[in-house]
Amino acid sequence: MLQHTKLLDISKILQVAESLENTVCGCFGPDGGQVLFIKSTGELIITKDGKIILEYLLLDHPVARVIVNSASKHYSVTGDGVKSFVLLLCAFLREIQRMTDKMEDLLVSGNQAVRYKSKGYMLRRISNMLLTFQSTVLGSIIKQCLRPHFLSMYTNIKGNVTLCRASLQQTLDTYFCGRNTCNNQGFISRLACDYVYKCLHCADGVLEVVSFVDKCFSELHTQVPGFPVDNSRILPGLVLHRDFSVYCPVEGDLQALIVTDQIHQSLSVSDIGFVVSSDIQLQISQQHLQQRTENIMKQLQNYQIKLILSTVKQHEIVNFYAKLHGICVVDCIPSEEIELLCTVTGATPVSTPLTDHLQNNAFLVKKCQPVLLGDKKYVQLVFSGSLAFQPHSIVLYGPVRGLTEQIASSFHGAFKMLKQLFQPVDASWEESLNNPDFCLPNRRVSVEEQRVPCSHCQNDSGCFDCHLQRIDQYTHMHCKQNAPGDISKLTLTEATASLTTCSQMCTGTLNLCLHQVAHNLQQEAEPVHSLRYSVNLKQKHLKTLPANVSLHKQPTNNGLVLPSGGIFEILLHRHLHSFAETCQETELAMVCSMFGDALLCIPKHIYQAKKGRPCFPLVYKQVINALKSKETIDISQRGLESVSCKYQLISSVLQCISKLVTIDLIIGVKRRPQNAENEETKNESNISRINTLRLHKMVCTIIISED
Amino acid sequence: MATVEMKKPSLCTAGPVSSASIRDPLKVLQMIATSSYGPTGRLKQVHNGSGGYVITTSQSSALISGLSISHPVLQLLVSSIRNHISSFSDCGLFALILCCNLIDRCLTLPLSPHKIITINNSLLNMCLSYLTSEACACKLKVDFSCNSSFIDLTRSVLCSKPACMLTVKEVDYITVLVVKSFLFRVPAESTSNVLLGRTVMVPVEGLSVMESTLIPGVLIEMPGSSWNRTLDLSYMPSADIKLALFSVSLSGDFGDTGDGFVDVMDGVDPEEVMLEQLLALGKRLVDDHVHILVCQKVIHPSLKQYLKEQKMLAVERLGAALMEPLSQMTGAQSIASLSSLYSTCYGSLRQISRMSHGNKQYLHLIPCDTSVCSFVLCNRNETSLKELVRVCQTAEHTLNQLLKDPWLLLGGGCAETHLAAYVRSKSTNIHSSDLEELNCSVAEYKLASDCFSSCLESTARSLEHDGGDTLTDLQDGHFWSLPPNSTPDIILHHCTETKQKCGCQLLRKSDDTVWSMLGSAYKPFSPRSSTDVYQLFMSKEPLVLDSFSGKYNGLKVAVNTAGLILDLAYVIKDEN
Repeated sequence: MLQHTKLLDISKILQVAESLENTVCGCFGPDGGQVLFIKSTGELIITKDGKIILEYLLLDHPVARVIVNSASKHYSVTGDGVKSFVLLLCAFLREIQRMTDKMEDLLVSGNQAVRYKSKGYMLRRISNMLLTFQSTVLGSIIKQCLRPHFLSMYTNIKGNVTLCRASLQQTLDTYFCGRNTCNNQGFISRLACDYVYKCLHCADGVLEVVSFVDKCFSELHTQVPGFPVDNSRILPGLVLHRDFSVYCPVEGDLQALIVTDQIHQSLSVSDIGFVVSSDIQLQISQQHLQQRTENIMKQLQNYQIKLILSTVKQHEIVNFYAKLHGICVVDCIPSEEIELLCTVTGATPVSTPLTDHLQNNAFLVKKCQPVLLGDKKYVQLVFSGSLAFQPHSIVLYGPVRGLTEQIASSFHGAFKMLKQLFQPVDASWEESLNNPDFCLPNRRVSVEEQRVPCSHCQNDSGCFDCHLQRIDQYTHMHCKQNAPGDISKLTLTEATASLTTCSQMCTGTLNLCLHQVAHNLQQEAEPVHSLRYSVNLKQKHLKTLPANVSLHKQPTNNGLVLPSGGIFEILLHRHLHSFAETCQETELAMVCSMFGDALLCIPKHIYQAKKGRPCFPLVYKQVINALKSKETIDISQRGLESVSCKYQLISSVLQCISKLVTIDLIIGVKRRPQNAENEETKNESNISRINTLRLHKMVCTIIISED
Repeated sequence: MATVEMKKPSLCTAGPVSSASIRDPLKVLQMIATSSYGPTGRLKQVHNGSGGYVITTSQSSALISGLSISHPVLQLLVSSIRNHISSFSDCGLFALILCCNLIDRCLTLPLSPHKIITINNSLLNMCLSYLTSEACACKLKVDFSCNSSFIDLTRSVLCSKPACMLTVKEVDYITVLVVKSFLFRVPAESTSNVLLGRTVMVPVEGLSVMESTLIPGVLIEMPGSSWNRTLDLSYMPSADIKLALFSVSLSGDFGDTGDGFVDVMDGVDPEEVMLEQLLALGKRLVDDHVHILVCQKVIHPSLKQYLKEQKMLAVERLGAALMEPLSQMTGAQSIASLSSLYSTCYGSLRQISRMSHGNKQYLHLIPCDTSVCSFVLCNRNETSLKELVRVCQTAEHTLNQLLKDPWLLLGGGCAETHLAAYVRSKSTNIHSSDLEELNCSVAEYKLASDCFSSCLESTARSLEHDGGDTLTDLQDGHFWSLPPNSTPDIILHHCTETKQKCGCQLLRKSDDTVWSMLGSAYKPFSPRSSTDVYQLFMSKEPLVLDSFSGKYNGLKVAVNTAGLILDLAYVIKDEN
């Protein structure tokens, strides 16, 4: 056992993370390339998706696996940002290493063991401080200092709050820019935006629609390899991924029925036997069964049912009678598609189509026709317009299968991203407000006390939702009263007041609160210190841009966006630094400035020195100047990106780092630990093929130091 | 379980495309494609090296599906072309050559891949919008009132596949048959629900090509032994023969009793019951005056015997492939029940006769209309017969597409050179203000567009295999090839041989034509638009034509695939 135990320190972690960074940075950003992946089965996949790239690398090193796992978890929430995750993680690790090296040189001159211990202690302090930073400082800085710069996805036209199509388009543009090949990202992005609008009945339901599409995406889309990507289109209604067994052309509306069982009965069923006692009995029984099927079909015809959708394969004789009676049959429909059909139409499947419940369970289909996609025939069902969700199917074409898969997965991710974007603001933002006194001078907070459970920011607990709105508006007011960069002043002077407000709100005296909101709204008429955006009017495609983009300042909680291209990172960097200058807690200040520096790696990677693109220092200066002098930034060249996805990214990175830096030993064991078994098998089955001989496999585990 | 191994980490290679590693395999692929392209292309023998089947072909569908490729990037390229072929069945080599050319040349350009891809894409869009526009001078509309465009197109398809080993006379003969079969397939009157007819290919080996025929109806192969014994056609009425088509087995087996358990008591004989049912069915058919019974599966010998006694013809083991055409041409509905027969299910035939081709005997079912016909294709040996069947299928597919997209492109390399000339003339007049969206300078755009048009030209040049020179005229930008061993100077300066025509046979050489060697730089000019060459299309001379939709999609696929490959940053290989 002992020879499998290895020391792990920060440089080793950094080494592993850097190797991941090297792989990922080639495909990062708008200039990134694609990765061609060849599976062991010879299948080709073309992708720019960080998650797929990392997972297919099949990494062995335990640290790498921890990183890949955290990144995938982050992806499952936001549908994006895996590459940024790795870059940010790496940059921050580098900062930490630089810091510890520096401090080590200053502090200790003793022997090796002491040095090592002190380093471990330092890292543990940093790790704890990170969690504190995340839970208390980060949220409030984003909320208070960055909030004025946010734009909303909603426009307010004459008091009517509607979703702004141009903003949605730009958000999707940014997303697809990082995910697709450069020659079709624009097309796919427009298609996605169209799709959202086609599915949308009214703008209020955008979150429901986006979540629904995210959930049922595999049934709602069809991949067709063999054609150029720009053939992709949206079809009205649903596409069932089966062909008709019997097709009789029907004009106009028709009734359809979902059947889950065999319509034709055989002599015996699985539990019930059949005894043949005489020739005549056998003959009569067989005739009876045929008669029965025929009668059922006649009945269906009487009830005007023209379409049978079956989950099982129907007997040949059913098809025969259906054809005779002019009824279409589609069989072997996957259960997921049937489920989707049921949710969309509200119909319930029947096991045997008998008279008494035919009327209630049939549903209206406007059009039912075969549709030829590529070289496969499918069934297209179009429903009447009275449904809440307007089902539309998306057909994604591509020259090769690997590419259609990639386009489909990026499309799916887009809906995950939109879901996150339209979700009401993450509850963990609010946490910081519950103990705003943290930054008060001379109050030493024990680090252990501040430690929050890791799961906190991964799942947004619903219990905060109830007073979310109020607290949000309350913060809003605060940030209006203070100049940017003055966060310490704010917390110093207002801390007590805010505490009382909080308690008052909790006890139910809402009068004050309402008053403050009104006050707040008044002040909002002139946004004092927000970053101003302008739209370059010279641009040709002006129509596609929101002319009133800077006016979208709604005190809403969801749908907050910022111009992309590193603006979020630069702003946050700036505010973190100004916070660090005034923060009394030296360690916290150190962590803040370190993280602020690390954040800049993302714009640095975006604006790598290349011809025809502005270089990073220039962009940085531009943004900072604009912030200071209230000049405008031209955002017509940029897209938009979701703030909540960015926030999620930062918290995921912080979680991952705080976990990683406290590890001091990697212990190899012959047998996997009992408790880890379940979780790891689940994760691994996604990544690799089945490893049968698990017992003999060396499994490395990580033990977290507890010194 | 002895060979279970640990999974290995994947192998990651950076920058596969820019490296020299792709050059050599790409060259080989390019060489294979270029040398097989066109009517004078060289044939390829594809075999697996261990005594397997040998294909002799120069056709993209057979060639590309036969290739096994190990280089991952080329796998991507080939699978993309393969997908194109599976849906268009033509213009595969064109797309492959153009794609290889683009990758090869774009790699040498001193521009970033993203820039090349965006410029190529905008050039592609320029070409596509030109091709679909009214002004396009290299396409013509299908004239459905006469056959000439069908015949020209079919002949071009047949000629461009030399592995069929056809003489000129044979090509003409097969062309007429293919066009005839196409005209049979298209229904005479248009209804809301148009159903195309079918052509069933019946390949017969060992006969001369000139013995190929096209006959209405379906041919059912009969084993030689039963030929004279069972088939007594003298009882058949001379017209309106009633036919019953069964999809269910008439073998009389007592099967299909469900998932459960069936207990048969002593003294009960289920097979007897089944046979009784079958005989009752036979009686019913006789009563309904059915003349011929066709079953997809097996018929019980007793039933067959009974039907024979009743002077009814019984044909069994038809197979699933012929069920649909038979049902379509007779109007019969395949019956799946033994007890319920409806008079609506019966179909009708005009006549039944016997026919033999080569050493095979067929039962010939002749329908009342011509929607379904059989195409008896003959050729001397197996490999050339296979190639001929493939080529005829391609031609059939291409003709069918005309119904969807009634346009034709000039073939023989003329469309490519014309497009190249168009791109060159457009890109000389470009201003930096037009390029803002592409984010590139005029010089960069020029570089990329020159590369694009020279790729198109070199695709056209691949049509010439005999060492002759290729020229383009500076008026329409068509493709002209010179016979080998003739010095270009003679042709350029003494235009005495006025017989020669351009690749698509549209233009004739005239004295005032200005020439340029293809591949060399020439002064960009704007090709004449469709209004100026319109009267040329009116001439009734045979042209070399290509399918519009095939080439349109091939162009798209080639440029998009090249873009995809140029965009690759890494190749990751799972080595398990």
